[in-house]
Amino acid sequence: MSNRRTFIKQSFLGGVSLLGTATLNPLSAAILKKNHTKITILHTNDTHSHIEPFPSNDLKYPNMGGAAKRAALIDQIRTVEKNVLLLDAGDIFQGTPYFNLYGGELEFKLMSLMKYDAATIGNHDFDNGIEGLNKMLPYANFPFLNVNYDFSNTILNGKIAPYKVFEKDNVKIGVFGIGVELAGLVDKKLYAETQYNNPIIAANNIAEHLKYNEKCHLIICLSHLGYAYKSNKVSDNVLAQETKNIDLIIGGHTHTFLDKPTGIKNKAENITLINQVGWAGLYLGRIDFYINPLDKAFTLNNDKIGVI
Amino acid sequence: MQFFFLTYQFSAIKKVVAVVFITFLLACQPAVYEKTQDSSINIIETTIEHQQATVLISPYKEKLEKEMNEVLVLSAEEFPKEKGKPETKLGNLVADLSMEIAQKIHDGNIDVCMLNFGGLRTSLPKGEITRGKIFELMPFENELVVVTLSEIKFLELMEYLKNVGGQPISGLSFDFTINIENEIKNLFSQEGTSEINILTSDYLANGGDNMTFFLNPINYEKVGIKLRDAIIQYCVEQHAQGKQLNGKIEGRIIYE
Repeated sequence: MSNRRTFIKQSFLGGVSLLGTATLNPLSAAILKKNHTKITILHTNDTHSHIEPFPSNDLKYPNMGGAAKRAALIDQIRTVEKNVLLLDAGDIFQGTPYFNLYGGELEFKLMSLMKYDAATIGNHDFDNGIEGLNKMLPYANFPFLNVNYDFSNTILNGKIAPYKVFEKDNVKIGVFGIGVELAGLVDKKLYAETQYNNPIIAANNIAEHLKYNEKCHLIICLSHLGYAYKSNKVSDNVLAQETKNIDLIIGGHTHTFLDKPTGIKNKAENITLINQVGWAGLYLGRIDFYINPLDKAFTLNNDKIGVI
Repeated sequence: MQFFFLTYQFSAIKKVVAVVFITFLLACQPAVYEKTQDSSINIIETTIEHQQATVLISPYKEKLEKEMNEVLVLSAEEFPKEKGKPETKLGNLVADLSMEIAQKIHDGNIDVCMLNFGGLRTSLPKGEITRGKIFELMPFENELVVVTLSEIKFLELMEYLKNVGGQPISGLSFDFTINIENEIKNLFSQEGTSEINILTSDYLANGGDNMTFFLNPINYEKVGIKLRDAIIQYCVEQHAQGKQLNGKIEGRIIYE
């Protein structure tokens, strides 16, 4: 994977040098922005029940993270930015005694307080069985999205939407969710009759629908597939390469910390961005899009935000 | 303010190209990826807490702390987390109690328990043992499972045990100064069996800590309890019987 990362970084830099003659100056960028609607995407993944900050004696992340601090950061951004979409890529459950004791109730209540717009389902969200997840859904006032799990023969039937379209200042944003293969990862008795379907086929179908039928300007996939694997296992990198029409994949599962989003050339020869912010609510991901609802021309601004 | 630009081609290229070209008379660069320092610095330095969120967390936190501070049992002595020993009091305690609790729940026979030292994450102090301390000892969600192994796989297990210098075991003692192969042959023929049932965690049964001999077993069954819950149950039962935790070192694994 390290080789792959190096390659991706190099191709990023390659892109920069090619730009020598085409670089915008800050003034023209400002003019460009003026005709566009700014959409601020904030995101988390694999928060794993980390309600409180890491303890001060933690070797890796002393005093980092914490849901109350995340909530304050989000609030602060909302006071500045008009069009915010707050999303999560799954594995909200499991990792601290808060989950063992309360089953995810507080996690969902806090996310509701922070006004999350949507989340997808990670493998650990099945840790108290499909009943455990179902029992907690009333505490979430945001939808769970997934397009490649078939829940028809389970108690979640009709409770998980494939996608949701958000409208912000005439810009339409289509968001859908993709889940990882559960067999071998999660005990069968926990996910019960949940059927896993091919994520690439499902993603391509829904992205095409969002683009041509729902007329979305921006298409976002919340994925719990994982960033990349040495094997052929389907990952966000594979998903990006094998699909069309997805502008941004917000990833999870592999707890990958990215300094900046990875750009991958997709099946339509366009760029699909992938971003992931590690785990445990240590960071809040942020990507700003500038979109002209008439032309679909937009620029991106990304930053990974440390919660300290 | 410093700007840094990269170019990407998003969909609807032609329209975008027109916009950029006409407006700025630049080369055909349709969409721009821009990395700025904009407002991110303030956000990084934010250390305040959201008051409503803190208020929401507070009763959950109090109840959790109360529960984690609950004393489950008293320990008559310290059980240190030790490295480089074939047998430790802590390892024996957890392996023995796993056998005891699993045998109550599991239908079939269990012959031996083997866990790993790496999975026991902290020492137990002398005196009060809290629920929180058990969460520190066993933070993972590992479940107890019973794996049925053939004589050949069990020999691999014993060779592994010899090579790594011991792991927590129960239901077995072994002297590695004598020939393992003969000893195991005798053991199996005395018992008149070709299989042995090993209690372990699902993590190890899936080959964790290089325990590859557990892979592709004759049979694999979940006991139906997490290792942490088994430890908690044992502590509660001991306390109910008026007992304290006592350590044992009894030469279960001998190398010389």
